[in-house]
Amino acid sequence: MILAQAPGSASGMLPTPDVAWSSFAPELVLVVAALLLLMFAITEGRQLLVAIPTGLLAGAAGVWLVTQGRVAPGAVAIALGAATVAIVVGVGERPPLVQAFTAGAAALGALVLSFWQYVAVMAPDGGTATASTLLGGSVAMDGISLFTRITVYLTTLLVIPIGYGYLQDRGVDRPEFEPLLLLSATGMALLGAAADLITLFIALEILSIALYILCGFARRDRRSQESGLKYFLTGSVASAILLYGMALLYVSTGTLDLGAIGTALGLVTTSERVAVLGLALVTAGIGFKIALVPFHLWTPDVYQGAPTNVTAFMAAATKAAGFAAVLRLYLLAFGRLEDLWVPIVAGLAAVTMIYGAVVALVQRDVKRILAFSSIAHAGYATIGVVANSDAGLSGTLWYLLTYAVTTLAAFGCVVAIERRRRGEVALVDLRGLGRTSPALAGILTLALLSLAGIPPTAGFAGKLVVFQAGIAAGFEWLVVIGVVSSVIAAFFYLRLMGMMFLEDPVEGTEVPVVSTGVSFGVAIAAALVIYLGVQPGVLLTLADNAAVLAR
Amino acid sequence: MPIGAYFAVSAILFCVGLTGVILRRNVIVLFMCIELMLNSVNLTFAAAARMWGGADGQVFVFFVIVVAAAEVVVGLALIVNLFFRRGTLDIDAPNLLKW
Amino acid sequence: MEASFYGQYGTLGLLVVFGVLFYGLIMTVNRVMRPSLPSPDKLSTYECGVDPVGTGWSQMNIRYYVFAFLFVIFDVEAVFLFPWAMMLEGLDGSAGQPSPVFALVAMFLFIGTLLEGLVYAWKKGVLRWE
Repeated sequence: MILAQAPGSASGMLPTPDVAWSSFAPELVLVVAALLLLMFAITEGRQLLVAIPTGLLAGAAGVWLVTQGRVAPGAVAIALGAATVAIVVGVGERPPLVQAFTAGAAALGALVLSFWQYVAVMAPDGGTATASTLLGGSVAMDGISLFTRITVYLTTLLVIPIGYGYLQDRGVDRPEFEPLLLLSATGMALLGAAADLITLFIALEILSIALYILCGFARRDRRSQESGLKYFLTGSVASAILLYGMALLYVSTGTLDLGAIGTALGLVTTSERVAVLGLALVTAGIGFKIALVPFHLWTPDVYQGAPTNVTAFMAAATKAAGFAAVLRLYLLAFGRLEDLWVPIVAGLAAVTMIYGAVVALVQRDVKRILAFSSIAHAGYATIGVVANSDAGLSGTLWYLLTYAVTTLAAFGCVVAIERRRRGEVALVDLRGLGRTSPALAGILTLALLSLAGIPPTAGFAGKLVVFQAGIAAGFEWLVVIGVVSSVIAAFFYLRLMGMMFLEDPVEGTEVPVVSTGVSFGVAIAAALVIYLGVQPGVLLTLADNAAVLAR
Repeated sequence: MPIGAYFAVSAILFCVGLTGVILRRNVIVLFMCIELMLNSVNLTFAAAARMWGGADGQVFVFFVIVVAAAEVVVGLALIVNLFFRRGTLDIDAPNLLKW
Repeated sequence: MEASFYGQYGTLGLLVVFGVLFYGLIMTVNRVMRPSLPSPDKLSTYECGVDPVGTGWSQMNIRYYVFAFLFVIFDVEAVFLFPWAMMLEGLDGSAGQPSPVFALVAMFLFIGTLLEGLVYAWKKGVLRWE
């Protein structure tokens, strides 16, 4: 009866995992940075007392790493240690700037370390990627985890400058914001790397709990409160359902390791009925996180009410992390049940694409439109999951990166328009934007074109790869629905563009304030939208190599 | 005692919690129902760990308890904030976000 | 296996029956032998402590919850100390095992992280009762 047993449990001793620091070095940087920022938050005026020891410790650790032969992570540690002290010395009299710069430096360090992981750890000979699981099989070091890291950390890096001035304008620039953002990003990266159910659940909760607070961060604003509470209630119910699904998988297979679950589900001795119930509950729970219809009901409300920079972060990064978990769960753990889940998930994808595109047509609020568009895009990305192939896997990862940069550019523009206004951007606010601030309107147009999937933008490159994978796997009907949905969606994106460029500005509309931070973040996102559209080469190769799963 | 009884009890508890989440309107009661769901999962994991003779299910229970505690703290903060602003705990009261 | 499982409940049932009988016997002996001098203080529900005021459904100060949750979080985190303590004894730094010093430092990092949370709560005035 016993199929699998926890290693070492027979002797009464727990197994001691081999701590492979390289496998979670970027997350380590972010967690340390979050703790540091929390200390900054409570030592106002005496930040150097915290910064100098931290900088010295990081520098010492870096020097030690370099002497051990690990030059790149050592250099990152030294640089971050120096940056900590330099930031506090440089802009110490402006605490919000210290928080933003420190968080940005940490996100940059994490991004560099992710690339280092790809070059030095995963593909030591510079050839094809090698995949493995580390830390006693709980963390995977493979294409999914690395690509998710890159998407999430890139998003974090861009969201920090975009949100900096915005939070001050709304009077909610509390120092807890950046630590929570970094912790949430840590959870997302871990979710992409989780190779067993415990890690998956913990990562999901780290990202969710931080996001609950971030959504309600403007706590005097009723919309933000409502957004936070709605996200919390629906999110924790979804977590509980997902958790029960996991428990049923454990009941039927006796293991928490995703690869071992996949193996056990192929055995005749495994009780398949319980496993199928578990599969259904897991689909509902994880479908909530990536907002598939019919588990999407929270999305428009939460996206509209949350502070816009948080919405941008959620739309870009949470989706990438959620899909990473979906890919790993379905391709690895549920591989043997594909006859069961492929048609269901394909149906969900079809409904999601159509629903997201159609309902967006009748919306009046720009953030809400983008929320429905994010629902539709979850549907497109799901085509890659349904394809159930290496091409589909890399297609979904690649699609999520293109969607992340696009949606960051779009929400960055919304942040700029929303500045000095009370948390609302109605459609009429866009009228005549092409005349009052042409640069902003131009970038928003670029982002909308990319969302619609029109060449030569990133959105086109993303859709192309995913649709190709779908056709190769024999899902022509799904791709047709995807194209139809894109055409419907293109209609309202065009309507927005028409409002910006063809209509006159409404009397008394304030001209948007574009601060340095917003223009920095939005400019990089827009550049990436064009770059990934014209020159997908490097990162697409990375996504292709990402198809190697750690089993 | 057959191990199936534990799974039956935890399934019933889970369904009671889920029904409560769907039917009740008081945020605090919703909250308790979510906790009930999480704890029914704990029971399933503990029983299954016993059935399989492994420790990993029990370890999972510890993590779920920790996470549930953290979730409760955050949720309570959100609820208290809402209560101070509106003076009600009815889940239908927040209704600004709709179309 | 199952018979012995229910057999354990049988033992419990015997204990309950014996307990009830013994309690009844002792209280009867007590009643027969003690002097009876009632006074208002003696007849109140609680002889010591504060008299209950109002109903049981009165609202509690939210601070009770804050303290309760701080306690719960630290209490549950303590659970992670036990497997660590069990393992620490067996560690000798041989092949594939971390050294005991490393394990000690790792646990202090964990506790330090928790401690920072407590310091944060303290600085934010959560621990003050006003």
